[in-house]
Amino acid sequence: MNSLELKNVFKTYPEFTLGPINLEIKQGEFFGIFGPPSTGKTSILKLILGLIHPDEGHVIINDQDAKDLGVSERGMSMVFQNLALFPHMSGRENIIFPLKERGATDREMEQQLNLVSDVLHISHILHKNPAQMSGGERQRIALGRAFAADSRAMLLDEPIAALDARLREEMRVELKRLQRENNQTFVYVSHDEEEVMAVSDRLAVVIGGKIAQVGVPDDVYSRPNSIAVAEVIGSPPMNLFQGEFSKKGNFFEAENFDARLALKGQSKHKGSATLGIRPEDIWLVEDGEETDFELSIISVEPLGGYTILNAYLGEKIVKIRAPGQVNVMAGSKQKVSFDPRRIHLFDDDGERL
Amino acid sequence: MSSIQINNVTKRFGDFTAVEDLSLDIQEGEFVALLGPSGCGKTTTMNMIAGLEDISEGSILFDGQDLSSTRIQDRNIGFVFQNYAIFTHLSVYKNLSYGLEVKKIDKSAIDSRVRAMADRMSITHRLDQKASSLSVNEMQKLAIGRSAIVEPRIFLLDEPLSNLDASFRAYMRTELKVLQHELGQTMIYVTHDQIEAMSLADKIAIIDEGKLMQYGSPLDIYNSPNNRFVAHFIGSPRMNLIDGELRQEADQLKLIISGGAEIALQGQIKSDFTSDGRVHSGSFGIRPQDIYFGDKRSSSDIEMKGTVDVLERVGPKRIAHLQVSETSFIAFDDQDQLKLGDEVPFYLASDKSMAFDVASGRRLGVI
Repeated sequence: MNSLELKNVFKTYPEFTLGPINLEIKQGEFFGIFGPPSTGKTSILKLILGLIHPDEGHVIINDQDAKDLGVSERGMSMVFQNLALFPHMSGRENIIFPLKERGATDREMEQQLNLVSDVLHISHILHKNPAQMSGGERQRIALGRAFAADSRAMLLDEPIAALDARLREEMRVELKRLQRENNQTFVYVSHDEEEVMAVSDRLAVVIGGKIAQVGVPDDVYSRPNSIAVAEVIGSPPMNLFQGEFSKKGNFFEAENFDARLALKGQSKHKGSATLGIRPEDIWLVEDGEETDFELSIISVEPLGGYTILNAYLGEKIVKIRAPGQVNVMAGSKQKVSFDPRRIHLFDDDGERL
Repeated sequence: MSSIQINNVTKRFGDFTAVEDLSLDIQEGEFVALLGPSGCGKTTTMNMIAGLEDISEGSILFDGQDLSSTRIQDRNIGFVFQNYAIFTHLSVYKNLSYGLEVKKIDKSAIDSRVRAMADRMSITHRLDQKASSLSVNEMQKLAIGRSAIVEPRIFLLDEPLSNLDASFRAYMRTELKVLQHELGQTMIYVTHDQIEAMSLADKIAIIDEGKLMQYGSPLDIYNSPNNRFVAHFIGSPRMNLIDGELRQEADQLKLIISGGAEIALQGQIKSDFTSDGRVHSGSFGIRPQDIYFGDKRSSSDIEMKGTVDVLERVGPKRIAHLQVSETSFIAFDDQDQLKLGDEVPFYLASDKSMAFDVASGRRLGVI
């Protein structure tokens, strides 16, 4: 069953057009919306919530066209990026506010309050007013209020962006657990690629007001359907080389460096194209082995569990992510090969081949 | 360029001790990161080095020389702040030349140094334009360029990349490292981002609650954290730190963890935990990549069984959260085979595990 559906939705702003947006979000799904800043992600949430209305197309909630449903009739909670807590109420009062409005019993309120304080680790700040809380604490209270309302679907706009890195890692796991236990539908907006990829069952990549790709994280990562998606998913981003296919289509010749790359099978596509390879799919090889290329290392970033190498390949800077801790010095030469199974090819329009 | 010696420095604000008995040796030309959570005292430390803040106790020496009686503007220290302080109403050229003009340097020398720096920063084509017309990218370069051009004795950077979006931040990180290498500058870099510190710095000073927790190269700290705070703070995904009670049963030493599950300690980690007989509550540390599935690789590795509770796609790999009673272990799904709800055996590599005392946080056994 689809919990939410956007059908051919357009929304026009003076300097920006959102659409066409087509999305089907299933009941109980954790659905991520990812894109660079100002690409229309928050507008999609507002359309679902009913804060703004589409110029064209339909928003469908539980198989019912929502155009005549007011915000409060849609059964959604939203957590905004800029929180919107009641400043004169304590954390506790903020959280139970929606329950009180609905006329819930004291027992029910207590129960919900306990449940969310456990998950969000907020028992110790419930007595504070928002002004006495840190940014991260306010953010957790706002989340608590949305959870306690126990609505059909939760719309979350960068809900943990203000937390520090460790707490963010922890909270995203908690959010996912909570969502699964309650079998709620979550629509989760973030510009943090790692975060969206980690929490989502499926995600939509939004670029320039349009949906560039929808899929499960593994697929979006291993088969980006355009250069635009390949550039924003994955960190460090995919290395991209412009070049041409050889006449027979079994080699790729890049413009930046003097080497031919053998392709697995033959390309039917002729002429120019872009070849992409992720930093982890470039392998360091020992001297003497048969290799594709030699690089000159610019700098080495040891991160403990892996190492990022920045290097020149011809005149182009490439990034390599090597597993573990490697003994490579800045300024040295290093031989590498490209994993032939992990090569991405895109045509001149940037579409995947 | 200078070396810096920070000797037993303490800073108090009224009753509050912001920095306590901190000592650091920074060699000439070194890139040192001051790393810690917000409020840990890292910016206060930097401000004391700069002379913006007085020192309550101790001393800071530059090439062995105490500058506390030297005026700030004569100390020749370069600054780059989070919100890059550039003159937006002046041209790019003027921004770069300003610091040299103040020093009354010869005009033709200024011109050649400005052009060389602009070229280094790839903003030569922008020299005649107003700084306000630059992209965020170029402004950041200009901010660094105008500080670097006066060849300060040291360069202080306070979270200079935190306003930038992720992809540009990664790019600037690389740029900054190359630049530091080329200039051979002593740089001190304040950040709360451990990945930034790891990737940039020659050495990292980790500070918590005003105290120095550890000082060393990124990999030394990563491979051999000397307390539980550092172990938790450094590394992404974070190290598993499993707290429990040590219990000796016959000749078997066990760590009883939350919910009653047991870690049967063997090999090196067992002797680490027993190295101090007074410790009763122990914390078992293991990085996610040192947990594995499949066949047991060494006889001293520790076998566990857990339920796959959450799977997260993070970069090239999937992270599995394995629930063992009430405790969750984070591991990489290295064979790409786990499914939610699976009950799977897994192994903790004994020789990669670390032992900590829960009460004091200190590392136990051989380091």
